[in-house]
Amino acid sequence: MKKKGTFLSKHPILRRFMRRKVSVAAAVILILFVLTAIFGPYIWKTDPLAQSVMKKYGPMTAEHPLGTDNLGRDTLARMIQGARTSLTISFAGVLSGSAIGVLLGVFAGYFGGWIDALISRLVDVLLAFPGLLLAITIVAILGSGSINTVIAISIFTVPAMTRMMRGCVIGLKNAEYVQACYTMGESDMRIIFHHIIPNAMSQIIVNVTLGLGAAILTASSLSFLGLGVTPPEAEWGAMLSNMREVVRTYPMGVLVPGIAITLVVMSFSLVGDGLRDALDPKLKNN
Amino acid sequence: MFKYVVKRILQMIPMMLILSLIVFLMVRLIPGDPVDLMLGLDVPKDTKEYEREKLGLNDPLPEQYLRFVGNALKGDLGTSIFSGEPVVDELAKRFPKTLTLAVGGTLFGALLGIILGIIAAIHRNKLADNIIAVASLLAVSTPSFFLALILMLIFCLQLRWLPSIGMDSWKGAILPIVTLGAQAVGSIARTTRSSMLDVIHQDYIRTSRARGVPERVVIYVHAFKNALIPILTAVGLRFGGLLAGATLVETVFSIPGIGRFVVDSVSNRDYPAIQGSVLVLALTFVVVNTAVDLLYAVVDPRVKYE
Repeated sequence: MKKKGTFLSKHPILRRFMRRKVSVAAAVILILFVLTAIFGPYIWKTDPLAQSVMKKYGPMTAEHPLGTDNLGRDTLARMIQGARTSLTISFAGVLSGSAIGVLLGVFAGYFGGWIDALISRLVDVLLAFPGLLLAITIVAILGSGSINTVIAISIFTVPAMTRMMRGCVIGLKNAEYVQACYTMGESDMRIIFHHIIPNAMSQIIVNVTLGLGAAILTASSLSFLGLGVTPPEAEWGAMLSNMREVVRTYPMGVLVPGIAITLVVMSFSLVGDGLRDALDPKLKNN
Repeated sequence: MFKYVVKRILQMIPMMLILSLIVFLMVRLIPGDPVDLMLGLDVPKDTKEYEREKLGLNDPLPEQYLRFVGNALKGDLGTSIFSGEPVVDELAKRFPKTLTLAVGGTLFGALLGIILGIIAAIHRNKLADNIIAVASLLAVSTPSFFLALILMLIFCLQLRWLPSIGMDSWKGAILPIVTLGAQAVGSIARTTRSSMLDVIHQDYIRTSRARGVPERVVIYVHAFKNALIPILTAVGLRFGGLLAGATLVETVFSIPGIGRFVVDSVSNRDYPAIQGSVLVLALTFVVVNTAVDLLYAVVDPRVKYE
């Protein structure tokens, strides 16, 4: 116990994060999902694509712990495959979108003038497409499929990140240490990459975490509508869509992927909130 | 006030022009020739050339764009490739359903969200606050298509209280509106709670209490009125999300609204239909946002002098 205390006291951020028990529980859930996505297929070796007409809508058995779907495929194996698909798509989409958003936001906030005007109007236009409609519109142009879903989520992430970052930079630009860098004649790029972005890092991390939850929802919504990941690849939203016709006779088929999506989205949100409190204690009082 | 209203409405025009430009370019960005898509590949070259000339696809892009905007202003959004009907007619049939869903969902979300937010703020850090926080989080995290199926399973298939498809009667509208609105409840409750907490600690609230104004009046009249701006913003922002989110609810409850139409059009590669419906949905969102901005000025007279 004593040893743990010293470790935590050396890491104030971790210590503050550990104080919020729900966020810690959520982090554990997320880690479990990520581990399942990575190692699941090596432990549960049933083929997620193997069909069997005889085993349609099967009950929970030792052979199929979560039952089987409308084509007799093993639900557990498909859930594991789905975790891989959903998490990969969301991480790839949010990370690339955030990187673009951060850069655009920094340039808009730092340089101001016409660069700011141009980027801000672009963001306004992207934000004029409400929620899911932006993702649907992008898929309409590019077509469905995993890669295009990643691009859709990436573009979906850009505007909010840009706006957040722009606000953040405008605040930081007038901070004394940044003013000091100007006076010392440091280059703009050095100030941006060595001073401004590192100081905005806590906000970026929080927004990325919260963005991941939104991305999981968007990706599964697109697949549910038949516009996301293409079959037979397993994805939670698509799995739920496959089973919705039989929701009355076989509710399990809808419940399993539905609960998984809810749990992951909720966990990202709780971890994001926990990180916000831990990284920036000042914000907590607001 | 009049000047402010006119200014905000005029500000909508460039936004709408940019939106129309994007929607116009969107279809031009899609790989493949629209005429091939309309007529199929095995049509003689002459027929295609005739069709292209007829549609004005050989004209320079700026000219095509001006014609697109001109036609759109006259209420002509082209003809659906899939049904052969004018897109405007298709949209006119569906728009009321989607609007009912989005407005109903927003009102339901706002009403419940504000009530829960106020209760949470009054009972800060007590049991009620915690229960509301958990419920809000759950509502925001549950995908609407999943919630829709669960509610449908309980109220339509098990209890048989409500119809499971369509939205032809008020009974049919309940579940779709509740499902859609549930998404908004969480964020509106959160915003209401924090906005109320900000206000409750202001001097004028303490003064009202000191003057012996009943607590009910302090909370619901003095505090709430001043906490309203961030709440309005949250409600306005949610409306757009619900407008697009209607797509999912329409799919589950088999409601023929615009959202479902967009998705079907994407699957059918019916580009005039996609173009028209995306334009209409985005413009609705812009109009609602402007309306919310105008409401600010009503709620807080300081806004219009900025």
